[in-house]
Parts: sequence; structure tokens; C-alpha cells
Amino acid sequence: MNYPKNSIKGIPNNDFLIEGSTVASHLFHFEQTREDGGVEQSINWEDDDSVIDFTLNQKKANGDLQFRAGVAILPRSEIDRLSKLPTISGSLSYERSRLDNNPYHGNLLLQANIPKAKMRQIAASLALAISGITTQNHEDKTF
Amino acid sequence: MSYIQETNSMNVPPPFSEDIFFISDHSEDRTETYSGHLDLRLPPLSVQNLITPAWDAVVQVKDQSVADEARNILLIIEKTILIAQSKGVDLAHLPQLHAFDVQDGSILIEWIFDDFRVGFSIEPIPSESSWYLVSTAKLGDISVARNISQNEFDIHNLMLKLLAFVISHV
Repeated sequence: MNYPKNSIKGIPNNDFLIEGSTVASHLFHFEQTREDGGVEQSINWEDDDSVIDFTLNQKKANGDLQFRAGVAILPRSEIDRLSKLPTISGSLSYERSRLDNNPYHGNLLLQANIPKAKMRQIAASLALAISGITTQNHEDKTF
Repeated sequence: MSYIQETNSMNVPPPFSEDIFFISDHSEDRTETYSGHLDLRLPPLSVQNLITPAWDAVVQVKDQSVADEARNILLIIEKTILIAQSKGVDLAHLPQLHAFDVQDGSILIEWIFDDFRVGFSIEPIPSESSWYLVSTAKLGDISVARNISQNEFDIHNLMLKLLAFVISHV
């Protein structure tokens, strides 16, 4: 399956932002448990130039913006790099998982039975690997 | 302390070698003006500035047992910083420490730098609380995570080593 250069991670609110310039690691905490015991977190794949705007405009069921603080850009090459580290050794991966209302949707995946300490560490590694932030005001911060 | 991760780095000094935390005991050799006595019971303003955002966030956490553990970690960090400052280590350029009330009931205390992050995840189940140190490829892909010891001496020791890493890589 083809994947684009970047994944997009929505930032729910300003609690995840630090001085507007970077994100705290809990933005990348894995929360949803899968049938196979693994855990996942949602991303969008940046298949075209519209995906950042699409993600910024995603809404909750009540009509509120889902990502009120903006989005973070996580290069796929960084996920691949992290996944290959001996200390992570393939336990981190990703998938495309299109939804009816979101053709760009995908997941970051962690294998089952990963200790919580390691999950926190991987979340921090992902947060450290973001290449930029776009706020709801369309202010770009690149690293 | 249970072992989980270790760095694969070959490019940087091991983060926990004992010799990288260099504290000069030769204060008489210093050329700058120096006077007064540092009272360890009252953190100087610069230390307060470093830690205030984290304290402020922890104060608002409702789960008191998790908040207490986070406060204990912050106190040890504060003491470690004071010790370093009392030995003449300049920490004025360090970024602030932040804390976050995470939806799953944990508290994240995180120190964020351009090329690395140091974090403490305080969990509702104390034995699951952990710390980590991760870096970019530029700093050698350091990737360490361990559970936090329940032994206060071990935590003090850990803080000294983490602060040593911070000082030597900022």
C-alpha cells in the first residue's frame, strides 16, 4: 500500500501545546485497544494538499471543531526510523483505515503487551519527531 | 528499578556515566563576583521560573494520590537543580519544565529540548510510573524508559544523572 510523505495528527486543544511552538508527548499516547490486543491512535495521511485543511475542519458529533489547537505534521520517514530502532524493534507500525467520512484516516499501531513505560517513551519519540505545527489560524511553525 | 530500554547510541556519551555530571568544587578559582549564602530551603527565582509551570499544573490535579507522587518528583527535581546551582552550574538558559493532567488519570511531567525530551509519567498505579529520555538521530537516537523506583535515594540519583545529561547536551 502506498503511503504519502507525511501523517497529520490533530491537536485537540491548547493543553497539548507548549508556548504554541511544540506539542507535549501525551498527544501521541496510544489509547484505543484493538481486537488483537494492540493499541492504536488516529492520524490522517497527507495524500494531497487539502488534508491539513480537511483535518483542521473535522468536527465532533456536536458540531464543535475536533482539533481546536491545530495539527502536527509527523513525517512517515520518522515513524519508519523509530520503528527500526533496536529498542522499538518493529513494535511500532501504521496502517490506512479509511472511514466513510474520512478517506485519509489511518492509525499508528503498537503491538500487544508493550509495557506502559515503553508506550510513554514511544509517544515522546513521536512528539520529538514532528516536523511542524499548523494552528487553526493557519500559522505554521516548522522545525 | 526494572529495566526496559537502553540507548543504542554510539555517538554520544552514555547518558548515565558517572563522570558527566561535573560539579566544580573550586569556587575560589572563579573569576566572577560571588557573595552571599544560598539558602536551600528557599528556591531562588530562577529555579522557581524553571519549575513553576509544572507546579501550577499539578496543583490543579484532582486525584490526590497521583498529584502527591508528582509533587514528590517535582520536589526532587527542584532539590537537584538547587544542588547544581549551588555548585556554580548555570541553568538560566534551560527551558521550563511542564506538567500535564492526562485524560487517562496520569500526570506527565516533561522537559522538552530541541533534540531530546526527558519525561516522567506518574500513573494511578504507582508501580507503573515511569521516566524516559529520548533523542533525535542527531543525538544518537537515545531511547530509554524505566519504571520509577519507589526508593527516594534511587530517584535522587536518577535526577542527578538526568540533569547531568541535560547540562551536557543543551
